[in-house]
Amino acid sequence: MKRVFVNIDRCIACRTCSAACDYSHNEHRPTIGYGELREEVRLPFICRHCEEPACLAACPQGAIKKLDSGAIKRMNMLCTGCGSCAVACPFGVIEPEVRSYVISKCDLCASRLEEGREPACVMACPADALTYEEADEIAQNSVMIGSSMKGRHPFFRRV
Amino acid sequence: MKSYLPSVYVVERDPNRCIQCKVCVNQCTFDANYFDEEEGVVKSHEENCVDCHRCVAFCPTNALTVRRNPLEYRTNANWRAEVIEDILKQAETGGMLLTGMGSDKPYPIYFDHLLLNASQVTNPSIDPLREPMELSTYLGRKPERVEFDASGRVKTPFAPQIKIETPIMFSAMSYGAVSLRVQQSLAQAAMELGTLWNTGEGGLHPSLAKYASNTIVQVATGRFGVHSEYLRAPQIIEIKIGQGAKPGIGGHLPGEKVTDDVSRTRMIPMGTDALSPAPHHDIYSIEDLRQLIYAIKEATGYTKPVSVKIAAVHNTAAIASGMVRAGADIIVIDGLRGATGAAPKAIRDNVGIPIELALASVDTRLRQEGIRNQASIVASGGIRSSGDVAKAIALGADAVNIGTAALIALGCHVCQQCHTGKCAWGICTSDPVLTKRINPELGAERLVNLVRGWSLEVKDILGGMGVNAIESLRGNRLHLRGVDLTDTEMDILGVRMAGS
Repeated sequence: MKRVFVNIDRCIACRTCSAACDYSHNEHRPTIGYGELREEVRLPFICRHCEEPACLAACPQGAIKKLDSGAIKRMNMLCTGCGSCAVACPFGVIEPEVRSYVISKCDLCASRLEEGREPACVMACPADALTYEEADEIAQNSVMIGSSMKGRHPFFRRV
Repeated sequence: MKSYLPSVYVVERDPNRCIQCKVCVNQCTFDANYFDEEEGVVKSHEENCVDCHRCVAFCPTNALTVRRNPLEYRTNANWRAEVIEDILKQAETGGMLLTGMGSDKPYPIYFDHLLLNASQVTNPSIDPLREPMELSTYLGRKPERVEFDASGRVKTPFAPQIKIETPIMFSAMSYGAVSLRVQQSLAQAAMELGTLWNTGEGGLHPSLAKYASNTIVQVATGRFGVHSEYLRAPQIIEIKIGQGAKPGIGGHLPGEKVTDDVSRTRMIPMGTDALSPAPHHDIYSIEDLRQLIYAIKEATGYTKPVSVKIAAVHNTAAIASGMVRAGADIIVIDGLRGATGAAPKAIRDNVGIPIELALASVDTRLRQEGIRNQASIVASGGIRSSGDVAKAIALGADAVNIGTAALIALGCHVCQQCHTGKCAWGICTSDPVLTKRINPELGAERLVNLVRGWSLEVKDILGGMGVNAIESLRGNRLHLRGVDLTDTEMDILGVRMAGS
């Protein structure tokens, strides 16, 4: 499946992706977190849509489901905002802050994808650091970071 | 004492559009935007705004715009706002006023008063889409005449010639002034375009050694980073005497900018100020210049052309004649509008002459003395478009250097804050967080696009004139006509009035 990838050599930590995510999801405000490792590596934390999602296993309400497309979706009506998914996520991409009793969760901009557009964060990135593509395509000329875990590699570095 | 300076710009934030995402706060390097934690809204310290447009460009909801502060001083043609504010600033600080980029004063731009010719009826124009157009240029000393042997081979010995695919090169911008990522972009673009980039006076960083085939290295007054390998690596070695933005003035790279990497490249201790003296202390005459030129030629086995760069000043024509006689293979003339990383405002805005006049007078003088063939002329300082390139070449340049235009291609918005080291576009800074804002691959791509676009336009201009090689336009001032110029100006430029 296609995922949002981050090129850590290009990311300038401007947080425009986060802002774009914010205003394209008016009701629930999913957020994109940030990590900074020294001054060189800075990257947005975007949901990796894991093949074996820990958040799904952890949710006591069964509110997180894996769609046929492979995307991990949170069912808003079922979510109680308990925060279990945020604790379970090994990559810290789910914002633990509780808002309106639901946890923010990337939905890969499902409505935009239906219209044939890329996710809002990818469209907004001014540094061309975010891409929405197949994992295989991107693997050809880059080094994955965290690729030891199957299907969980949204960061890459150009070689 | 309290500052009496009013803010020059106002940041207008549309409250209906702003989503308090803090992107503008994050992007502004001059602390002009901040987030008020108590009220939970983004606000502006407008007095800090320099109108660099970084926040405007990045605002995801287009909520921002920056305008000139409409505050008016009492109308006075003499005591204008800028004059008053400069005095206020100086009264407050007591120092020299520093600034960056080239002069922003409304001195005449002669390129805008020159018009190019085109073919009609009596001679055919050429369509560059269908027929080959030659832009390649050879830089270096040309012989008096060319002789052939019986088999038709060239018998005359040639001085070293450097071929560039398009007569547009990148100006000298040193590592330390601009970031390494900017130099990487320039070097990679130069390699892709088959033209040359210039290291400036800050030495050649080891990671850029692979671009040696497209490099000019500079030997400037500070002699930073000059060693035998440095002289052996490049295509051309340039002796920098002066710079258009600050003729007669040295340079000063503050110690904070001399990081570990910069200190290694410049070969000076870390954290010390890099002071370029105003003169070369071993050049006090044309004879001394000759000694340095030949010392460099000797050191490189006469395999590389030596270029000498001067700022355009009042006696440029006579100086250029001396330089050619001293053995310079290429002379670079940097005009009044040439830019810099930092210069005293008084020098930048008041010293030097426009490149068009200097270029025309140098070309005329060298022709009169019969030594024009002994050196190539490179014009720099204020080349803004392909039209300027064509006009400079018609005025007698062999090639032009673009500096500001190249930086604009990389994102520069000419806010003239280069001297602060806080460039919000990540160009003229050594802050590792800010330099990340330039990506060498994307930067090189943009530079390649710019120069390729200009080259195509120059080809179109040539085609319209009915010539198929840049060589046919070079120094051909009959292709130029002046408008709105006095007789003296047209006389110096060597052009005729439009209509005559």
